[in-house]
Order: sequence, then structure tokens, then C-alpha cells
Amino acid sequence: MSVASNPIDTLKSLLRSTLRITVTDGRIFLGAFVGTDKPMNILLTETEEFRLGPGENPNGRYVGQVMIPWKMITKIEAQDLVVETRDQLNKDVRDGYIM
Amino acid sequence: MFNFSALGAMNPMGMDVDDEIPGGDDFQDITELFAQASAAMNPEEMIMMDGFSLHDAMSALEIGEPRLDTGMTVGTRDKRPFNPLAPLLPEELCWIIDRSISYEMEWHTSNQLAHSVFTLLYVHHLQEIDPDMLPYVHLLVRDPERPIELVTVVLRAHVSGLLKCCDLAWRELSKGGVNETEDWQADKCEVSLLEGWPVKAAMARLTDAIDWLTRTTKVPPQWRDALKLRLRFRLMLLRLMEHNVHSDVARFRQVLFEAQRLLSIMKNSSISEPSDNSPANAAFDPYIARRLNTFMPIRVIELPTMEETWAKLENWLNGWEELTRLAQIGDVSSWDVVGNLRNTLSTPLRPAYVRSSTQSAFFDGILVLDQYPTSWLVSRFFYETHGVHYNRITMLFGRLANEKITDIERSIVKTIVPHIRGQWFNPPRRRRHLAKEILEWHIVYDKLSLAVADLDYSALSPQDQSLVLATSLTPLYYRLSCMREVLLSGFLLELYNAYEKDFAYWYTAKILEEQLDLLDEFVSVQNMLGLQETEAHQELQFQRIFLTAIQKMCEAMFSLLVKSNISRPQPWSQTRQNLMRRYKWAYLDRYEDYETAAVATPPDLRQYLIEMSQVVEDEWSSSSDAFSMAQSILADLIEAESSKSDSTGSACVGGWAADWKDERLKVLQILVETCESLRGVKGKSSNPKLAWDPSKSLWFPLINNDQKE
Repeated sequence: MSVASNPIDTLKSLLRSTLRITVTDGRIFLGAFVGTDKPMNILLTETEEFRLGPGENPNGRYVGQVMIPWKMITKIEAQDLVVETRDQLNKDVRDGYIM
Repeated sequence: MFNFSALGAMNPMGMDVDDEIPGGDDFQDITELFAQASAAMNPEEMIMMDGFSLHDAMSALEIGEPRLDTGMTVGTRDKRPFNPLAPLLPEELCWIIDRSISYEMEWHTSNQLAHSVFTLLYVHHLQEIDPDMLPYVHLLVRDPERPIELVTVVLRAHVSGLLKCCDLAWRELSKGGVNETEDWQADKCEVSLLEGWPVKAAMARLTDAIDWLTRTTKVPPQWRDALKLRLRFRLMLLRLMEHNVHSDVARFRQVLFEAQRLLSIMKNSSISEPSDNSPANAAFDPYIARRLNTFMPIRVIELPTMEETWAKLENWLNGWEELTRLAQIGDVSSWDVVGNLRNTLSTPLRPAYVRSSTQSAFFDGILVLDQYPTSWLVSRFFYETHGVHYNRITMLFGRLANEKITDIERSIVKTIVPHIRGQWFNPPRRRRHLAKEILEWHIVYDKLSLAVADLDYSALSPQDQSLVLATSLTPLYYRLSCMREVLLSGFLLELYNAYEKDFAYWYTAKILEEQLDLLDEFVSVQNMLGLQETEAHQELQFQRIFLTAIQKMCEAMFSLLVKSNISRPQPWSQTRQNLMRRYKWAYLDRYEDYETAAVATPPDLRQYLIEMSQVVEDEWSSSSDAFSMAQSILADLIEAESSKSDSTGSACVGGWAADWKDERLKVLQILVETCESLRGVKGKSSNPKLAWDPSKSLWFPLINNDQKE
């Protein structure tokens, strides 16, 4: 993905979209991105928690609204489609197609 | 049902593990974007979705915070892989069953299902151990010492029975008689308790397993018997929980005795722990809540010993036995007496399930004791207090408008039903309920007093006039009983600090004074009407003597504490504020809404101060003498009861206590011993070391022997 000139604006454009966050103990959280702050405590709502591996629950469990601190995060992912749409949107704004 | 994949554990069977990444593959890494945004943001800057405030953000669960994040793995846990189909030795199965019973009792002791019953992993794998669903069963290793039927037939039946018992208990507990989060925990974490499955099916599965154990030669006889014993016990529990105690009392008692007999056999057998490499060790996962739908923080329960578990089960069955005895007694006062005794004597609190069933057995929302309409309670209310049938009282009230009578009756029912049910609340909740009830009784008293004031007495005989007046005072008697219980139960719950106790005893003595005056009046009316042979008379006589002794003890305690507490740490204004807070139920503004003046509320604080100074100045009267007098009153009561066969005529401990007379005698005996200890206080100068221990001396302290003069 191409990072826009202003990463804060790009981050804002990702609000409401689904993020997949992997944390240090191997769990994966899938939820809607609703906010963050400078230390990058990431807020997700409607979140489901997944744990991979034998004997674990492949269906995930609903954990609702969570705050994941930056120190716990190993990876943050967004859906391709969302990222591409946002990139295109940014490009269109820059090119003056959208005011 | 929540279905974990057991496939990982079943890898020996050659099946694939499907580890698809949640959300799919069309995601791309944007970690770097967040890092860059963080660097570009101002220190206080936040990015929030429109309509989402900082306040909303506060309610988020913090991942990585062990107290909130139930899914977090803390430390390196020795996690054994769990294979639901791992063959087990019969002794390992017995150990699993007993341990699961311990966890079940922990749920009944107000722990979460996720921390207790659900830690048994077979609960989440019932489908995998279903013999009909095992096409590959022939591939499993055959071990003659570990027949697979022990898992697929016996363990499966036990787990089904266990879950069904939890389901039936859950249904009873959720009726509202006991408090969720205080008395029990309702969160099922979306795990099935086999709610849609009939009880009979669980029973049939247990019966099939018992039959298999009876027929099989694959299990050594000693373990066969041990397993059958446990399955039969579960079967009895299911039968007891399925049936209403009123439906067939004889049958219920028979099943209960059988359950008690089986329990006594289980108590005398001991099952050793499985070896370290046994698959039984993997059968429980105390951290299972990490994988369940719950927000409750994980708490690893320290399991009690099996002796403690059996004791809890015994208390449960004893509670049921008490309920069957109560269900056969149609006297509301006996229910009240038993409720009071249970809360006075230091017996273990009955499990919430038993307390809830007892409440349901008394009143199920429609009928009282499964057979009477609520109006029956009104007739019992007057009959059990005065020994006079309600018909006679209604005849005397005959001139009153019907709607007035109906209103009074409705108020009585509205107060009595929660009063009796409230005796099976947990002790602090019961005390709070009684405190609220004091006003309710005043409302009934007010209505009845106003109704009686409207009556034309000229047509009534003197006896009937006395009866009418006594009738109108009946709610007051119950109100004073509630007040007494609220004050005295404060000692049992260890609520009072050192400087509150003298007031509590003083106020109790004042309430008892009022109540004893009422009792004198009631007894004289009974004597006038020739009702000396009734149980109501016997009960009032008992209360009269018993409460006289308690009043003497309270007065003596007040005097003793005032003399030993001369310098108070707080000024009177502060003490007064504290008293008004502690006794807020006595200072309610709502009393102003009723015409009839409230009796004994609020406490006369001026009089308290006067009596305090009188006690300090009084050098002659001695607490020791008062305790001696109380002891002699109580000892005479016990003596009269034990020599009842001599027809002395003064024996009255029975009253409405029915089968619980011995427990009443036990209370009397404890109080006699307490008086014996407290009469050791000599003279004004002594400053005895008093120790309050409700388990030893109920509402009063004992003197430490080494401090006795």
C-alpha cells in the first residue's frame, strides 16, 4: 500500500473499517477500528478474538469493545479493498477530482 | 452448544487440521502506517470515529491487562493436550467424576460456571464422545484395562447428568428468590446445559450406563461398584430436582433417603490422585474461560478437599430433607420459626438452590404450599397468633365495609409472603429485607387500627371487645419481632463496632419491653377465651418467657458496656448522626403518611442518654445478678420441657417449632452457657475482656476465661 503524505489522514480514512490485529501471545483480533491516540492504543468495537492451534476454538469468541496497547501488537492489517479504496480516494482528492 | 475442535487432539487418527487465518487472505500489513501516524501526532491528539467519545472508549476491555483480559495467557502454563477419546482407567474416571462434583458444588457456592463446572473439558466435547458418532472407533488403540466404553458410555452419561442438574438448578435459581451475583452466578458463557434435552433422556442415559456397568466384565468389580454408585447418585439428584416437593412427598423422601445413603457410601471411599502422566490430568482446564464467551476475569478456584465437597452435598441434602418436613406442615409460623433458627444457629448456610426451592415450595406465585390460595395466609395469621379461627374475627368485623376488609387482607398477604420467603435469603440480604418490612407491618397495623376504631363496640361482649383489640395489635407484634431480629442479627453479622453495641442492646431491650407488654395482653385474652390448650398459647407463653430472659440479658449488657466504655471517642453529635444512619429504617419520613403513631420508632435518644448516666451513677445494681436471673429463667424453660412427662403444664418450648423443638432447646442451652460466662463479671470496677463470637454465643459475648475474676 502506498502511505499518503499525511499518515494521520490515512489513519482517519481507515476509521470504521475492519482491522486484523495480531498480539504478542498469538491471538488475533478482528474488529472495527474506532480510534487511537499518540501512544497507539488502538480501539476496536464488535471485536472477535481468535486463537489458532490444536484444541483451540476456530470459531472465535466475541469480546466486544477492546483497547489494544501498542506494546502488545505485532501486526496490524487492513482489508485490501478498504486500503485500495482509501488510496484511490486520497489520490482523487490530490488530483482535484473530489473537493 | 459451543463446539471446540477436538481435531487437533485427534491427530493420531490421521485427520487434518484446518488452520485458516480468520478474516481471510485479502488483508495487507499497515503496521508501518500506524507507526508513522504515531510519530506525526501531537501528544494529546486523538483520532476517533464521529460519535465515538472518550467516555465510550473508557468501557473498552484492555487487552494484556490480566484482570480484564480473560483471554490472556499468563506465564508459561503446562498445557497438556486434551483428547476426549483418550481411554481411561476406571479409577481415573472415578477421580474425574468426583472432581467434577467438587466443581459443581463450587458453582453452588456462588462461583462462575466458567470457573467451575465448565473447566471439565468433556462438557465441551459431548458430541465427540458419542459412540454413534465415532466411525473411526475401530482405529483407536484397544487397551483391555481401559475400555473405551468407560468414556463413551459412563463418562458421557455422567457429564450429561451433571449438565442437566446444572440446568435444573439454573432454572430454579433464576426464579428470583435468591440474588444473582450474590447467591449464584448465572453466566452460561453460551455453553449448553442441555436445556432442550428432556430430563428423562438424561436419566435414561444414566440408567443405560449403570446397566452396561452391571453387565460388563471389562471393569474390575470394585471400580464397577464405585462407578455405579456415582451414576446412581446422579440419577437420584436428577429425580429430586425434577420433582416438586409437594407432588409426591413420600416418593420424594424415599429418593432423598436413597441419595443420602449413597452419599454416605461415597464419603467413606477414597479415590487416589491419577499418576502424573495420566490423561485424566488433562480433563480439567481452569483457564477454560479464556476460550468462552465471557467478560469475567479468570479466577482459578482452589478446589476443596473431597471431605469438604461431601459435607457441602450433605448440607444440600439435609436442606432438602428439612424442606420435605416443612412442606408437610401447614403452619406458617413453623416456617417462620425454622427460618429464624437457621439464621440464628451457626449451621452452614444452605446452598442457594435449596434456599430458592424452599421459597418456591412456600409460594410459587399462585398457591401457598402448592394448595392454598393466598387468603388462607390471613386466616393462619390470626389463628396462629391468637388461637382463634378467622371466621370468628370476621364475624366481629362484620359491620366493616367489605372493601376495607379486603384491603387489610391484601396488605397482610403482601407482607407475610415476602416475610417467610425472606427467611431463606442470604443473611445480610435477609436483614435488609426485614428492615424494609418494618414499615410494611406498620401499614397493616395502621389499616387494622383505623378499621377497629370505626367498630361499634356496644354490641360486643367484653371478651369479644378484648379479642378485637388484640387482633388489631397483631401486626404490631410481628413488626416488633422484625425490629428485634434486625437488631440482634447485626451481632450475628458482626456489624456493630465497639461503641455501637451498648445502644444496640439498649434499643433491643426497649423493643422487647413493648413486645412483652403485647404478649401479656394477648395471653390474658387467650386465658379469658379459654384457649390455654392451643399451640398459639404455647407459642406465646414460650415467647413471653424467652424474650423476658433476652430482655434481661440486653439490659445487663447495656449496663456492662456503658460502665466499661465511659470515655467515648466521639462527641454526642457525631454519635447521634451515626445512630441515625445505622438505624435509618427507624427514622423514615414515610411514617408521617400514616395516622397511627409508630411504636418504638424512632428510638428515644434522650432517654438513652438519661439511662446511660443513671447506669454510670448506679453503684448497687449488678449485671451479674441480671445474667443470673436470665440464666435461671432459661434453665427453668429447659427443665420444664425435659420434665414434660411429669405433666407440670409449664412446658411450652414446642409451640410452633414442631419438629425443630430440639434446635430451640439448643438456642436456650447456648444462652444459658452465655449467662454462666457473663455472670462472672463482678462489681463496677471490673473491665472484663468480652469476645463476641456468634458461632459460640449467638448475640452476646463471652468472657475470656483468663480475664475472669
